Amino acid sequence: MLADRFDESTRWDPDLRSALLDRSRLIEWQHQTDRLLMAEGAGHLVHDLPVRADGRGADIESRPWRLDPVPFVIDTATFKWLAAAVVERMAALETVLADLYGERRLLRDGVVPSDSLHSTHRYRLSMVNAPAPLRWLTTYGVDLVRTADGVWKVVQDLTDAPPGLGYALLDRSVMARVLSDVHARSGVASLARFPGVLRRALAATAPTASPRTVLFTGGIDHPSYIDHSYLAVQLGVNLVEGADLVVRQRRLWLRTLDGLEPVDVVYRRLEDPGIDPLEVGSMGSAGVPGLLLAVRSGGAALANAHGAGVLEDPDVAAYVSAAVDHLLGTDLRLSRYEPEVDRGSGLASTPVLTEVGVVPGEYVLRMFATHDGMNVSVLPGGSCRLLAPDDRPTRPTACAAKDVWVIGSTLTPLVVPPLPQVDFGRSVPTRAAAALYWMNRAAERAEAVARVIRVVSSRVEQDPGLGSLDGGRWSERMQRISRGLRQAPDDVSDLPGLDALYDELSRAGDDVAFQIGNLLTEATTVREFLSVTTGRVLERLATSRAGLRRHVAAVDDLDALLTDLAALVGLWNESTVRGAAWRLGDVGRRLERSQVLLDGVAAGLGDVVGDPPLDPVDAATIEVMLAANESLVAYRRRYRSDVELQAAVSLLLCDRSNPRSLAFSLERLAEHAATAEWEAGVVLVRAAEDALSLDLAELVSTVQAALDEFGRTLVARWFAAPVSPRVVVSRR
Amino acid sequence: MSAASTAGDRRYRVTHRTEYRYDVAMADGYTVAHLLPRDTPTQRVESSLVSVDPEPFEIDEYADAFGNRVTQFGVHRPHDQLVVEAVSTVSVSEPGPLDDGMPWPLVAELVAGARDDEALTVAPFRAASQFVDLRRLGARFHELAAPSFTPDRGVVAVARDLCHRIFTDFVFDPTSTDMSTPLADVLVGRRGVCQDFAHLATACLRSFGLAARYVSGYIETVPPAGRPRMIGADMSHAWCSVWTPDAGWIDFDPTNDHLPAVRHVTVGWGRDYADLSPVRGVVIGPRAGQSLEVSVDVAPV
Repeated sequence: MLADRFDESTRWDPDLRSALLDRSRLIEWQHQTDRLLMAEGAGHLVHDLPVRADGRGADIESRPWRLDPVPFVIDTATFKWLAAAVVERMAALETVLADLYGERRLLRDGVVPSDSLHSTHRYRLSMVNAPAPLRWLTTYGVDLVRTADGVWKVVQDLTDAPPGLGYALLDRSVMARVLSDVHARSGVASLARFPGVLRRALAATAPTASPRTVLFTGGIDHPSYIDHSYLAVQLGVNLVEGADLVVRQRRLWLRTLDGLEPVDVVYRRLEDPGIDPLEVGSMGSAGVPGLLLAVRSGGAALANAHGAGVLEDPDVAAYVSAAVDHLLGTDLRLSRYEPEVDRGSGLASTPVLTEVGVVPGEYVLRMFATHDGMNVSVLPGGSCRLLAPDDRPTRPTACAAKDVWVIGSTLTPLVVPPLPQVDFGRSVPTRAAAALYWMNRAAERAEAVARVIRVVSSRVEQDPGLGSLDGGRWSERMQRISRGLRQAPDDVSDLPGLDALYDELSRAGDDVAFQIGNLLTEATTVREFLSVTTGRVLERLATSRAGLRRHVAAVDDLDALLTDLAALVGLWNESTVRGAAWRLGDVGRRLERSQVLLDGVAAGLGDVVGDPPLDPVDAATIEVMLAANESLVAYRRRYRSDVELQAAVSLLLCDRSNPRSLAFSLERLAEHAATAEWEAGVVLVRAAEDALSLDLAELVSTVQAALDEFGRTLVARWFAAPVSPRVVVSRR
Repeated sequence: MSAASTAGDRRYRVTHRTEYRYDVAMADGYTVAHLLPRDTPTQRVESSLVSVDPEPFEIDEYADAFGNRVTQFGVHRPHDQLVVEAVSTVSVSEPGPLDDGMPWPLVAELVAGARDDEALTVAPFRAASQFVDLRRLGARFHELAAPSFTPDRGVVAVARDLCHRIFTDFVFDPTSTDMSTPLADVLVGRRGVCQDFAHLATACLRSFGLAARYVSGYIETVPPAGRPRMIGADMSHAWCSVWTPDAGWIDFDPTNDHLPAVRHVTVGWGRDYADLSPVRGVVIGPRAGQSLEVSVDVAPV
């Protein structure tokens, strides 16, 4: 089965070998890993999403990515040798960086050619002779291959913002669950302590005693966003984007609902050219304007330091060994992989599950290390990427990865010193609060529209005669309600009979899909605020969303969707700490629910003549309105009679004991505004509440106006955020 | 050659005004400017000041990697216009007469083998940079400049000839290029503005292994009686500087066929325009139209 070149599995213990290479179990394991990664949003990041609520486009392509169910196994002795080599290399690279930006003996003595160094934008001139950072490399990653004769070589050093640590932790959490029995009895070294070690190391990059740390990502559009967000959750630090941070008076701040809070350490997951648009050689408007001035002035520390990425430039990397020799007089244990020399003899392989069974595959192993000011710790694991047949090891195109198992119990566990810091506590980054607000609004609107589709289609299913009731007047009324709820223009369809209704319901389905897309986009950017179970529900919503468009959704599918949306609300209410984040999310939900009610009432009940006896179309309309707002059962329990306009309106709009009523929602909005000490909000809600006693038509327009203003004021007061930073230049 | 160079100091007052107008107020704005002249062996800065309207919340001045003066400021409240005005008084003495200099192959050899301090101050200006794309266009620069690089010609004579070649072969045309025009297009169109010619001269010299700096500044506006008006007036100006082992950095101006450069006020130097763009920044606010006006006045005082 396996080629005669060096294959990792030849060294495995026979028991492990038979446990891991059992083909029938492997196929089942593959299904499970696929499913679990999906739930984390990692296997197949939500794609094809619409523009975000704040106008920023989320242009994400589908990135399928699989975790091979066969782990990459390293024995303890090999790992110890590799770890020592990684520690040695990280320390040597630190020295090289300090020289390249400080004394520059390597340039003065002609060891690193000036042209190579000065031709790359990764050599950041602004750091030359600037106050030296406490450390150039807080984190380090290195890609290794093993030649066919078993020798480990370095493919590339990752010194800028080494990606993949989040994935490595995520892969392990999935594998430990899927292969729980094999994992448990194999003595696999645990990764659980590493986030603590890293957090300590990040804190140690700042001179302050209790630094506040953030993880700086490019946002949902960044190809490694899941890597970043998963890592932020594991570290327990805020995940921030450029717009969350601001520089004032050479100091870095986080924009939160409570104002600006100082930030001391930025764990940047973005490469050097993308962190400050004011810097020469920066890329567009990405990053935080002024960040590097703050850093140079001691107003924030970066991990890794700005400029550390220079060693990733191939023209500079070629001189690393010579540089280390010149500065330290030592040869590194790991030598560089030379494709023309080493590729000839081939690379070692490791077993991989494919459609044709388990076959040997070439791989690149990425190891991670972090320096906490005293010691270097190496992750007792890593990420292993598989090479496709024509891949260069520096750029694997493969979308397949492996978890890395270090086997043997003789490793000394990593020691995690207690962390002296208290992180941001309950503060909520403004952008995260905005995302939670829009997420809840989208969820509420999606639910309302889905419920109308469900109620109307099931009515027609039960009683197809409704379509022609009163010359099609019922059908027209239903279409109007649907258009009202999805806030579409009230254009009467010219399709015949029920076709017009089905056409409208199909459009409404598109609209639900659109709202769920909004919901998912926002949710993806604030995963650290959402529970693990919420992740599962979001994944189900992503799946259902795909089946909603361009046809009238089946009643069963809608029921499943409504159940998921209800689960989302339930989890939100039961699993979110009561604080500013929850409050704004709840405001979003209550505000949208109020507007949904008003839109529905305006579209559906405007033409109903209230005096009994009700004509059948009006009666049916009232019933649909009640059902669409989950209030039909409540109505029947209370009145035990046929529907009647005044009682229905009262239940939907004014009944404070009905959690679906407008009055109930307004009451919650008033409480939230009061808790936040937001006077303008309190005044606007009070105006809406006062209008509840007016005639229906007047009530609707007055409350609508007050709530529109409430929404606008809320955004201006709480989220007034950078809209779209743009680079401006003077012409020559 | 510019035998006209006269001895004695000249004094200038330079006013450089940049004005942005936005159709809708911007919430926040950050700006980096290279507007303050620096001292050089032939230039003394008597006074210099940047003023900003609206009043910035914070303003910093620092030196960049080349020792140029950088002004960085932030306006963090809504503003629909931003006016940046720099006023400087400088006295400039013109450089003495130059001979043809050391043979260029020898200079190239010295630059390639530069060690110690020269490895830090000279060698970096031989490398490719953002606007001087030697990797892709090196052969074309080389071809353009080859007639100037006759065997064993003195490096100053080479620069003088190159300066004249660019002046003669290329048309000064302010409408032909903008900031984003790559040198490749300038090579094809044979027209451009002072920044293009400065980049071109820099690229040609580097393609033969010489160290060349891009210099940013101004040129005197009002011509003395009987002389033609100098091209590039009323704008920021740019030229080039070549390194020689004996005389140090020699400035020359391919746009005006001057070697050495005379009536020039130096703001600073770097690898290319990117190191010295006069005013650039980031504004944060709604999408809206914007307009920009720049005026430069160089007055003898």
